[in-house]
Amino acid sequence: MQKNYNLSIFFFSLFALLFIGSSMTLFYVKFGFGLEQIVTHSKSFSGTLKLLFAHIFGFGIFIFVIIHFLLFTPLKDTKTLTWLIHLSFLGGFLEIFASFALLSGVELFAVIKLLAFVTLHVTLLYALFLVQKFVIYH
Amino acid sequence: MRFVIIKDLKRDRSMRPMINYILAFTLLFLVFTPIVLYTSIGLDESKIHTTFFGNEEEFIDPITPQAFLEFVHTQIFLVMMSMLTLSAVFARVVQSLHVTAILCIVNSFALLQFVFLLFSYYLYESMIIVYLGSFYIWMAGALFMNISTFLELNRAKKL
Repeated sequence: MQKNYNLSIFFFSLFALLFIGSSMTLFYVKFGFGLEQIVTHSKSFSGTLKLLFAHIFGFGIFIFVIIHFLLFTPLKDTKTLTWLIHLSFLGGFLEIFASFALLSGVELFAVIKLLAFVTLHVTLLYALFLVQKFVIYH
Repeated sequence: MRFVIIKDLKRDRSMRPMINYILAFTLLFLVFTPIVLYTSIGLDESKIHTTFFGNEEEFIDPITPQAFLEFVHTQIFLVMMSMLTLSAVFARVVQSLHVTAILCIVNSFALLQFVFLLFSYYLYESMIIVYLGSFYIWMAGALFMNISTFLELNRAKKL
C-alpha cells in the first residue's frame, strides 16, 4: 500500500509540474513578463474578480496539498519546510492582493505581482523536487 | 480531538459512507467530463480540428491561444485533484496484485492526454486522434477504478 501511495503522489507531482508549466505559459500569454504590460492589462474590476475568484480557492488548496506531503518526510519540523510554507503561501496571497491593487494603476503593484508570481512558482517547484526526491529514493 | 489510523475502512461506520460519497462525486465528475468536452472543444477529430484551427468555409474562427491555455489549465487542475483522490482511495481499498499496474496505466494516460492535446494544438494536427485515444483510455480506466473501489468497499460484511 505504501508503494501505491508513493506512486499516486509521484503522478500527482508530474501533474503539478504540467500545471505550473501551463500557469507560467498562461501568465506570459496574458500579461507578458513586462511591467507595463501587466499594468495595462489589469483594467476591469469584473475581469480581475472573475479571474481571481477561482484562484483564491485554487492557490490555497494546491499549495496545501503539495506542502503537506513534505510532512511525511524527514523534512518535518525543519527550517526548510517552515520557509517553504511561509514563502509559498505568502507568494500566493501577495499575487492575489497585487492583482486587485493593480486596478489603481500604480506600477509598484506590478513589481509585487511579478515577484510574488516568481516566489510562488520557485517555492512550489522546489517543494515538488523534494517530494519527487523522497518518493523515488525513500 | 484524537487522530487515529483506521485499520479496516470497510467495517468503519463513518469512513465507509464518506468514501462512498466521495466516489459518487468522482463518478459524477467522470460522467460530466466528456459532456463538458463535447460542448467546448468537441469529442471527435473533425470538431476538435475546427475548434483549434477554424473553418473558412463555415466562417468559424479558431480558438485563441489564451482561451486554449485557460481550458487546458483548468482541465489539468480538475483531473489532477480527482486522480489524486481516486488513486489514494483505490490504493487503500482494493487489495489486488494489479493495483500498481492499474495506477500506473490510468495515471499515465491521464497525464499523456494533456501532453498530446498540447502537441496537437502547437505542433502536429494529426496528434488529435492520439489525444482522443488517450482521453478515452483514461476515462475507461478511471471509471474502472471508481467502480471497482465502490464494489470492493461495499462487498465487506456490515457490522
